[in-house]
This record gives sequence, structure tokens and C-alpha cells, in this order.
Amino acid sequence: MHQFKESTRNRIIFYFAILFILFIILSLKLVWIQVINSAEYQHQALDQRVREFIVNSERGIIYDNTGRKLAVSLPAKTVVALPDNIIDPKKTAAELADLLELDYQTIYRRLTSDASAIFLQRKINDKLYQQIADLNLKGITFTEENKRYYPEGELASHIIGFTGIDNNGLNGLELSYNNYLQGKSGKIVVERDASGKTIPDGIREAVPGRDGYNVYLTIDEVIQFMAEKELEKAADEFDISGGSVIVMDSENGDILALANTPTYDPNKFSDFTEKSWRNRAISDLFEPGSTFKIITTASALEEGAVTENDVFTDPGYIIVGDQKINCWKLWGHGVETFAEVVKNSCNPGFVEVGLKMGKASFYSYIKAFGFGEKTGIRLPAEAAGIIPAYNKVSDVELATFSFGHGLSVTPIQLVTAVSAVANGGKLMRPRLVKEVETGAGKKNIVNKSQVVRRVISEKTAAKTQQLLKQVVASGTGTKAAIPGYQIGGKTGTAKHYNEDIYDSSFIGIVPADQRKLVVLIVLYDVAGHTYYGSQTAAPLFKDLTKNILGYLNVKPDYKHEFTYQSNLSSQIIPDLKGLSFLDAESKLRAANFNVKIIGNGKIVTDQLPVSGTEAVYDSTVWLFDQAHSVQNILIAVPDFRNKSASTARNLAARKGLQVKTTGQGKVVGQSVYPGKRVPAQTIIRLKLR
Amino acid sequence: MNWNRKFLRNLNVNVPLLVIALIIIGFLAISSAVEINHNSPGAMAFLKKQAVSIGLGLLVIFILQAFDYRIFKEYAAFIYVFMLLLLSSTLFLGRTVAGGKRWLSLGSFNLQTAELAKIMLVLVLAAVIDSYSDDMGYLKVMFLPSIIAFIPFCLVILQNDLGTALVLFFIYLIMLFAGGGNLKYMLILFGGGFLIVVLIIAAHLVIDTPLPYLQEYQLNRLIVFINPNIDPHGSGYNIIQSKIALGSGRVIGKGLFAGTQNQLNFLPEKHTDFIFSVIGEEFGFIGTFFVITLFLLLLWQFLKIAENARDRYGYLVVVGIMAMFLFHILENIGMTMGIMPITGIPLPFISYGGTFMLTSLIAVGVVININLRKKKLMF
Repeated sequence: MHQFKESTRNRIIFYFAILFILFIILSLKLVWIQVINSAEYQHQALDQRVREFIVNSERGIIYDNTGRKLAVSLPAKTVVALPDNIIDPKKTAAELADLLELDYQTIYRRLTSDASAIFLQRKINDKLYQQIADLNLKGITFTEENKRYYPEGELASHIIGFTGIDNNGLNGLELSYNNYLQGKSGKIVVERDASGKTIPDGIREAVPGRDGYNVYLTIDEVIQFMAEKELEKAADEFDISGGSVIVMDSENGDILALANTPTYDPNKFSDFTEKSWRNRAISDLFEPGSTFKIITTASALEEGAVTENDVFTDPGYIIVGDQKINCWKLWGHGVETFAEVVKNSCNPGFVEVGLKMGKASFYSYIKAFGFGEKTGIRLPAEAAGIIPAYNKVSDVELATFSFGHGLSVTPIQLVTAVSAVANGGKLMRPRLVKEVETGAGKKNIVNKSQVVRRVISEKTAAKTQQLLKQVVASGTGTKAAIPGYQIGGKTGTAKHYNEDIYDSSFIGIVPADQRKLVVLIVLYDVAGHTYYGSQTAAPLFKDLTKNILGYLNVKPDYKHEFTYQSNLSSQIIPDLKGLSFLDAESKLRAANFNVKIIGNGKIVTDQLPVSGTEAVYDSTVWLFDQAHSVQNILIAVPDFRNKSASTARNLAARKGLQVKTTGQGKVVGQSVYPGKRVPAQTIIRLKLR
Repeated sequence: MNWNRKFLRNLNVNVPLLVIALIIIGFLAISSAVEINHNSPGAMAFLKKQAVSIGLGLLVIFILQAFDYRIFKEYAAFIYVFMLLLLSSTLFLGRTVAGGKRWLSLGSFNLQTAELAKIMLVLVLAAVIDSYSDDMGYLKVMFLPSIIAFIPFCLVILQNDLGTALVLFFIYLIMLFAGGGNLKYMLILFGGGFLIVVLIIAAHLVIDTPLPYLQEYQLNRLIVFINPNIDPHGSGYNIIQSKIALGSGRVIGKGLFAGTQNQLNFLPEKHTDFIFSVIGEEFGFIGTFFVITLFLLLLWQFLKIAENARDRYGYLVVVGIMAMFLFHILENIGMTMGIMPITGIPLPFISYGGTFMLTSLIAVGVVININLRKKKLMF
């Protein structure tokens, strides 16, 4: 029998050890892969056999308020190259380069890329598709995608906006309503084997897509078309950089038309400048000028600071602080009632109104009418306008606000504010989208018309409308008048600082059966000789409004032509000093006076005008308490010249001044310049001859 | 004939039990790898062929027991000549498959001659080393075994079968050391040789010198073994997919026929080289740990049988066979986990492949033969 040497026995023990160590090493590596890092491998295994396919959804249709389609989705072919199947990439690239108008190198690179499929050009037109299909190129195929199409071209382009190549809204409602319009693309998750073949029973997940919702607008395609035609005409006729038109139904805030020039065709928006995409009616600021006087008027009437019969005097200018503010009429409008101030669009008159109202009160109305904040029309890039900060505004700025200078507004803000005057005092949220159709079996999302707040009373609104009607009937807005219709409105012209260019506008309230439309025309950067709103915007307004009324079939009424009438009968102001405010006010109201109370004391200590003054029906009497001196009220001194002593005395008393006359005849000189503002009850010495 | 019923008392039953367990696991894994559950064409043919090989192998085991293993020692020279003839005839007459002539057609049966060479080399080397027993440890007596091993090594290299050549080398190394080879000389000799191979490959990579006997794809396998992500869809693909299969099986596996890497064909060569990855994916860590434990126990039994062999020849033969299996197991499993370079070396008893199954079972038969005729215990 063979006996092993000791060394051989040791070597077997050595092999036992080696075997055991190797076993441990393999086990540890297995633990590492199958236990510790297994989640990562599991993820990789899933990743390489599961593929997600996107199922495109169709974008919703945009309709106008009569059901006409403004934006639709059409199928369009996309050219796809399958690099593996292309036999002669050079020849193929050369043939495609001409048709697709792409660089040869670019196409060649794509045709020879690593990808199994690659887009060459997306959403081509049918003609191009036919041409390429006729070439019958190996490895070039087509896939169907949805392309946005705007059947009406430029019409309402600023409202609708446009989409990018991936059907994502980029501008207008396409952007702001993208969530509704876009829908949700579905997906299919499939399992595939190593060669890329889908396994028959390998669908793991199928999430159905949802087509986009259809959106119904308040826009009326016909009115929109009329508005755009009118702007086109304006761009031809006048030297302007652009213009905006908005037509709003004041009852519910519905935008019937909103147009701008310059404009663009959303079907090929990239061929136009970015400037032409700009929706100036909501994004651009302008100085409203005299159109803003509607706001001043309504605020002052609502506040009781002034009535239509209060007397104003305009020597052609007014001095506020150390600034002289001119009227547009060189010699002024002389003595006039507030109604005439509105009709004449008299700046010094409005300055007095604004200052009488006071800063706090005027500001609260400006804010209440919605200036300085977005209207919430839900279009992208809406501007908020600029209202200077309250504590930075002095009397001079306040004075300029009253006739629409020194602040900036957007056209949509102005239309919305004037709509509040037109509809009886409610500030509406402008509405572009009436309804969103959420598909079968689901309730539509209705965008109800929304009152933001009540700004003025119905009475004030009605009175303001009356005053605006006389502007069109016999004031500065006669070029906007249409016989048979009682239109109220206001022109506006604002000169650019240090330049001879103007923003000219007209805004009108148009009765159309039961409702009232507000129509705004703004022309930007008007240059040349014809620049006044009354000469440029007002005739455009007239043409447009005539067309709209014709389209809406609103019959003219020649029997009830508008005439402005006011009771100007004289009455004597009673003595109110020592009475309680309550008694004094009821006494004045009974005597048909308007009352403006300064302070919150109990007993009337002073009044303006003084008792015994002969004033007209409904003129304003100011009452003061102990804490407020009548001397704090500044009164613009009238031009007394050429007036008799009694006329001058009466005018002075009605305005709240006193006169001392020397001599006989007509006034030839006065101790204080006309237009200067002095404390109430200051004695003005008049020289008569 | 040399048979005695008392031999049966010596039988280490663990060996046949472990082998049968491994064969069953392998058969299940192959049936999943050839997608018998999908009735895929040819799946049944694969399984039938494997079953025939197994049956044939078991038959050979029984036949082998009728002879005393020492007959191999007597006929060692004859076996050696036969082996060289077999290998060289393959080079001239063999079928060319995948860039190498490895298959010899015997009627309907294709014989992979290099597989048989492994067991033959063990039998011959054991005889040579045994005859030098007393003087081993010196450089000059290492000379003849080295020459004996080197010739078949070269013939297999010429068949372009680097994997099998490495098996032969490993067998030679382990047997030489087991036979008392001087560790110091072996280290100098093979350490130096290894260094030269590394230098040749490095020179090829850096200054592009020609590479003798190593194909470009074999070199690529070596490079991607170090970092498979260099070429994840090409040379690195197999390693990455194999690791994903193992890892995604996690602890308990995805279940028989439910492995996605396997059934969706992400895993290449899944019924042969990467059968272990299929087991890992479908039976998880539990499955793979079970398999390597079975292998450890089997080789453990082999070493015990070697220790108790009747003579030095038997001892050397069992160690050689143990070396053959060990290399296959280490290389194959290591390759599926990315810790060994890829060579086409199958996993014993589990991978699909007729000749190798036959060789493995013959080897087991020889081990059992030595086990049955072990030295008598002294009480």
C-alpha cells in the first residue's frame, strides 16, 4: 500500500482551502449582483424591454359666438426617414433638399444618422406630400400628425394666437387656454423582445388619450371682420404706427370684436415680425386724454362734488400751483355749466372738477374703475397700466389726471371702465370665452359673465350718458354722430411728450336694442396734420358703428332725436349756518340743491356759496364744520371783463367769491388774474367803466 | 473484468446524488432556455439530444465500473497517441464552426474532440507524474509532464479553442502541484509566462504589434471584460445582459419560464454558455446559491475520494478531474457575473452540449471507479 508523503497530504488540505475560498468569492459576488444591487438590474431589465408610445390627441376647435370655426386641427403628413432602409443617401438627400427647401448637408446627416427613424420635415402641405410620395424613395415614409389651421387667416389672429410645431399654444387664447385646447396625449406601453418585435400579449399599460376641448368665444366673426376692415382703412388713410378696436357688450362684458393693426396670418406666423403678433389692445399703454374725462365726470357726479348745472368759468387756462394749464380753445369757453364743460371738453373746467373732488376721492374712483390693474381678460401679456403712486401726486398731477394726462391705460381697461358707465354702474370682467365644451357626458365649463364691482349708481351712469350724448349731438364728437341713434361718446387726443405725434381715440356708447355696446377706436403715433381724435378716430367709429348696427339689425329711430335739456330756473340759497348737518342737508335737498359736506362735525359753521346767492336748480352747495375753513377751498377766478356789475357779482357769488366794484358800466379791470385760484370768499376788486 | 460486490460498500453515494441533482436542474434550465413553453420549433429536439447524451453517459459510468482504473495507467501511452491522433485529425477533417475546426463527424454524431482530450490528458498526466514520484520538485523532472501537456495544448489552440486550451493548462498546473511540484519553480515559470502574455497583449494594444494565436474577437472579449460598457451593443453585450438577467432575478427569481431576459432573447447563448444566468433570473439568488453549493459539495467529495485513493495514480486522476470541473465552474459562473473574461466554456452537468455531458459523466465514472477501489481502512 502506498503511503502519501506529508507534503502531499498538505497539498490536499491546501486544495480544500482553495475550493472553499473560491466558493466564498463566488457567493459574495452573487450576493452583490442578486441581492444588494438587484433593484438597479431589475430597472435595467424593465427599461430595455418596455417601450412607451405616445398617442397624439386632437386639439380642440375654437368657435366664434355664432358657431363659425376660427381654429381647427387638420391631419398633415410628416416626412420620416428610416436610415437603415435608405440605399443611396446621397441621391435621396439631393432629391429631398430641393423639395423640402432644406440644406443638402442637413438632410444627408439625418439620412445617415444612427436613429432607426428620424423626422425630416413635419406637417407638410398636401401638394408637397404628393410630390415627395411620387418620387417613391426607399426609406422615406410618412406619418400623420395634426396641424393647426386657421380657416379665416388673419381674422381675430391677436385673440386666437397660434401654436408651435408640437401643438403647444404659443400666443393668444391658444396659449392661455392651452390646458383645455390641448387635450392629453395617450400612451401605450408595450413589451418588446431583444429584436424589437412587440410581444403579442405584451401590452402592459394603455392610457387612452383625450382630445382637446372645444372653446366658444364671445367674438362675432362678422363684427370682428368689420373692425379689422376699419383699421385697415385707417392704416391707409392716416400716418399711424398702429391701431386697436374693441367692441364690448357692456351688459355682460362680452368682447364682440378685438382687433389691431398691424396684424398677421397665424397660419404662417413665422413669416411676420414679432411686433405684428402684439395684441396692442391689451398689451400697450397709451395716455387716454379726453376720453378719460368720462371717468372724471362719472366720479365727480357720483361723489356729489359737482352737478351738471354748476357754474364754471374758463378764461382759456387755469393756474394750478405754478403751472398754467391751457384749454384746447385759445380764448377759453367763458362761463359754462358743467354740462357744457363736458360738451366742450374743456380742460380748465375738468381741472376744477378734479381738484374739487380731491385726491383721495378721485383716486378711489380711478382704482374702482379698474385702472392700474389687469382686467382679467385671460389673454397672455396683459398690461396693468400706470397710475402714479398716491403719495407722489401733487395738485398739478391730479389736475392733469382729470383730463386724462399723466396716466397710462390699456384700451381694454378704458373699454371696461366706460362699459360700467354704459350698463348702469357695474364694472364687468371682460369675457372672451363663453363656454368650454368638455366632451360627451360631461358638463360644459361655462364662463359666466362676472361683475367685478359696482362703481357708480345707475342714476350717475344715466346722467353721465346724457352728458356724453350731447358731446356727440353738438359737442366735440359730432363726426361720430349717426342720425337716428342716440350715441354718447368722447374723443381723445394725447400728444407724446416732446414730439409732434399723438395717440388719438374715440370711445362711444351705442344703444343696440336692449343692450348698450361700447366701441373704442385707438390710433397710435398719429403724425401729420390730421391728428385730433375728433378728426381721425370719430369718423372711423361712425363707419364701424353704422356697419355693426346694420348687421345687428338695430333700426334707427328718427322720432325721438336726442336733445339736451336742463332745468336752469333760479332759486335763492338759504342760510344754513348754525343748523345741524342733517337739517341743513334736508333743507337744501327740499329746495332742489345738491349738497357737498366737508368734515364730519355736527353743526354747519360755514357755507359756499353764501346765503342769498341766486343759483340755478340742482347746483351744489358746500357745507363746512368747525374744523374745516371755507378758506381752504381754492376757487378759479373768472374773467369778469365786459360783464355788468350785477352779472359779475352774481357770477362771483355762485363761484364762491366776493367782488367790490368801483365805477360804472362794464368791467374793464380786475384785481386778480382770471384763471388764478384764490381762497373762497376772497374779495376781487373790479374796475368798471 | 475486475468486479467485487464488496466494492459497493465503499461507494460515496453523495457523488451520484449530487450529479443527478445538478443534471435535473440543468435539464429544467435548458427547457426554459429553449422555450419549450412556447412550443418553439426545435425545442424538443434540443431536449431529446441532451437526454440521449445523459443516458449514454450514465451507461458508460456503469460499464466503467467493471474495469480497474489502473488499466488506464497501463495503457497511458496508447491513450496519449490516440488523443493526439484525434486532435490532429480534427484539424484536417473537422467541420468548421464559428472560425474553428472543433467537430469530428462520426455518422450522425458530431464529436467535439477537445472535450474528450481533457479526460484523456488527466489519465495520461497522472501516469507520467506518478512515475516520477520520488524526484518531483526539481526543474528537470517537471520537463516530461510539461512536454506531455504542451502538445495537446498547442493542437487545441490550433482549433482556435482558447477556452479548452486553458482548461488543459489548468489541469496540468493543478496535477503538477498535487504531484509534489516545487512551488518556487512553478511560480517562477508560470508567473514569468503570465507576465510575458500580458506584455505581448499590452504591446499589441499600445504599439499594434502582431498577436500570435489570439484572434481579435478574443482580445475584445478580454477588453470588454474589464469594462463592458465600452461597447454595450457589441462585445460588451453578453456580459451586460447576463448581469441584468442575474440581478433582475433578485433573491427569489422570476419563476420557471418567466425570465424576461431569457424568454425575450436578450440573453445570448442562453442554453449553453449563459445557462447559469437563466437559473439566476428564474430562480434568483436562492437558485444560484443552491447550484454553487452543490458544486462545492461535489468537488469536496472528489477531494475526499482523492485523499482516500488506493494509490498515487488514483489520487492524481481524481485531482485532475476535480481541476477540470473546477476550472469549468469558475470560468463559466465567473463569466456570467463579469469577473472572468468570456470564453465558450460550458457549465458541467447543466449546459446544453452532448460531448461535454458525455466527458463529464465519463469523468464521474472514473472518480466512482477510484472511489469503489479505495484503500482499506485500518481498524
